[in-house]
Amino acid sequence: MRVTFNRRLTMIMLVLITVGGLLMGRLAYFQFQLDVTYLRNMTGNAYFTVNDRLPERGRIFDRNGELLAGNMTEYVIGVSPNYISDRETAATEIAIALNDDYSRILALLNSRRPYELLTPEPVSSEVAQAVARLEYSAITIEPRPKRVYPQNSLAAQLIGFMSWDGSQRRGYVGVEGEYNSDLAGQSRVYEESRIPFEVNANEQPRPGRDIVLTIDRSIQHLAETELQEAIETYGAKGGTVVIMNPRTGEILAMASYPSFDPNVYYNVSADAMRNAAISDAYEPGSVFKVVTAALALEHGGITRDFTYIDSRIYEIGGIQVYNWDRAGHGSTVFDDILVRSWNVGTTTLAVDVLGRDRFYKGLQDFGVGSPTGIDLEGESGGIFELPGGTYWTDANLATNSFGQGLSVTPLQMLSFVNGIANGGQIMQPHIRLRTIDGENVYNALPVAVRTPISPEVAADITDIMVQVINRGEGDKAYVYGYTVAGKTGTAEIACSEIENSGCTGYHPTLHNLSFVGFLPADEPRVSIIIKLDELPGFASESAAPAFKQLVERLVVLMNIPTDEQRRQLREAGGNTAEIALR
Amino acid sequence: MLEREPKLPFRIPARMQTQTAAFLALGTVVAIIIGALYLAQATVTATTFSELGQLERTLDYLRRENDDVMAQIAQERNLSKLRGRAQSLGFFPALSEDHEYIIVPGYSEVRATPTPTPNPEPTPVYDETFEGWAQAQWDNLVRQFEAWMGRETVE
Repeated sequence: MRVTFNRRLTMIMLVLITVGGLLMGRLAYFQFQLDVTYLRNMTGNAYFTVNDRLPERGRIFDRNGELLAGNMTEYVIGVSPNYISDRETAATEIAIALNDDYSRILALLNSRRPYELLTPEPVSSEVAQAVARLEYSAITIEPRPKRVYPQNSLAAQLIGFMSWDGSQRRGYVGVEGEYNSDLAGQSRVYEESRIPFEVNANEQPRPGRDIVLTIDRSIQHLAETELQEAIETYGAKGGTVVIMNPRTGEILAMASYPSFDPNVYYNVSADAMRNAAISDAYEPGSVFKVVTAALALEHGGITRDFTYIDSRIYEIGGIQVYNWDRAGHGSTVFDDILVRSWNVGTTTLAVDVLGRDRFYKGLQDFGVGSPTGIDLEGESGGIFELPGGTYWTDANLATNSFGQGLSVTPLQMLSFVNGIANGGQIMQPHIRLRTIDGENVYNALPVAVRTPISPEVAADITDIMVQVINRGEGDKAYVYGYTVAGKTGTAEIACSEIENSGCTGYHPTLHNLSFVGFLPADEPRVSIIIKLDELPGFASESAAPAFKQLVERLVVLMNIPTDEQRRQLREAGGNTAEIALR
Repeated sequence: MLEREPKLPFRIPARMQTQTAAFLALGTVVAIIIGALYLAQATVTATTFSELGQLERTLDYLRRENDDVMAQIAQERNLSKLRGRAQSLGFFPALSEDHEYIIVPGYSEVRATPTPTPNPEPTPVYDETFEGWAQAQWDNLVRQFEAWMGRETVE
């Protein structure tokens, strides 16, 4: 009996030792060899949550580092009512923290659903902190990124806006649209472990790149203010102002009216979002004469000594071309074609001096009919019909010479004039000054894209454009102390482009009035186009004085000395060409 | 007929029983110690990881707050607000004639500052031999001895 007992005891001991050994081995396996996928499979992913972490969208700055588009965080606050025991007390505390109605919160806490949103809209950081201080484990506070535009409507069409496309963010219009891939960054899907012995790799998603623009917000603000004032003063339907550095192609300001506030883009019509400076092509009218005149000097084999007989009417292709005053002026000198803005003069240059082929080849050299290639979303190339086209007739040769029968955007028109201001070279218009990607900075370099005329011709046209202001149709754009080169443009508008016009052909009274110019004429620092939509009268009566008012403020902002100050600076040994933009 | 001697049951010697019990007891104690150490270490690790997670959440939160503050500063620096504030303080827009330009001799905003060319010091060459080192040590010793003897050395 005793023998049997001892044998059983030995067996039990051996079994216990074996089981103990197996358990120790299993423990060792857990400690040293276990693959985490095992736990995941065993627990049905209960130990992991898969999150999609959104990157911080790149910010947008002006050239002086002022924030134009940035990021803020809102918080979505939710609750799992089942985990709250004392609901009356909780409702009281939460209502105070949210500054909300007690009964509404209590109703949510009494809900039978597993999850309820405590606020219909995301709340600010302060409110979220107040709720977090209550330390209810049943309350979840989820951050949600929000795009903000601290300058409100300033440069809205230029900057664009960000919206949600499903669960992804996307930029629309302007810089937000054009540089969306740079700004967006890269989201990161990652697994967050709930196992206490595992460190979650805090892998941040790659943030978007910051974009620094060429615009100066002070100049932009001035452009918008002056544009709005001009529109209100003269009763225009809308308008556009573009300010550039003709030497580099940098856009310093680009304003269109009406505008919008990108913070509330969802309340705005698509029309207000459109950047008219690059999207809306119009018949430029007489400002385009500077292009025709420059081509005549460049390719027409004439000089500024050229004269012609202005016999009031020029008949071509079944139409009659008149001057704006409907008068003939007999023997007329070349300079007066621009100074007095004679349509018969530019028609003579296009038809008799240049001829069809050289004229259109020259226009293409300037870039007429081609988008400028500016780095903004939604640019139009204008409408430009070449000989042989469906609707082209001989009459187009005449009308195109004074800016009718073709259309360009305000930016295109300013680019043509920049070619004159910059000694014959047209620089690539651009809005991005640099991109900042962490520690790396990528600068945008000025690039010459076209050289349609020689420096000599550019100097001649500049000289004539100065006369336009000093003794011609643009005298109301004269700015005391400064030599400004400019040209007025009073363009007819096709009835089809005016709402409820009730007319056919061109509207009898309404015009698009524009003024384009640059200064100082001998050392250009800035070029400007101002366009006022659908106004009666002439550009010399509205666009020119609006240009003058804008320039008088602009020279102060940009530190452009008067001619006399520059002369004194030069005599004292200074280099006025080096008074650079901030 | 011979009667077989009854077979005695197998008995583990008492000494062996004591040894086994002692061995098991020792094993148990060691296992308890290891277990306790393991538990303590696991607790510390879990706590540390929890704190680390909390710090990362704080870092994320501070990043977001930083962005918020930047945006709020930009909103306060909104040009319309600045303009209104400046006007209330009595400032007015400057005109061209209010500007005075001065010449700063030699100043050029766009002049690049030449980068000084580094003039590297020649790398010292180690050419001491053991014989030279031993000689120097000997000479040093002799100098010290002579100084101790009160005799001046002439360098």
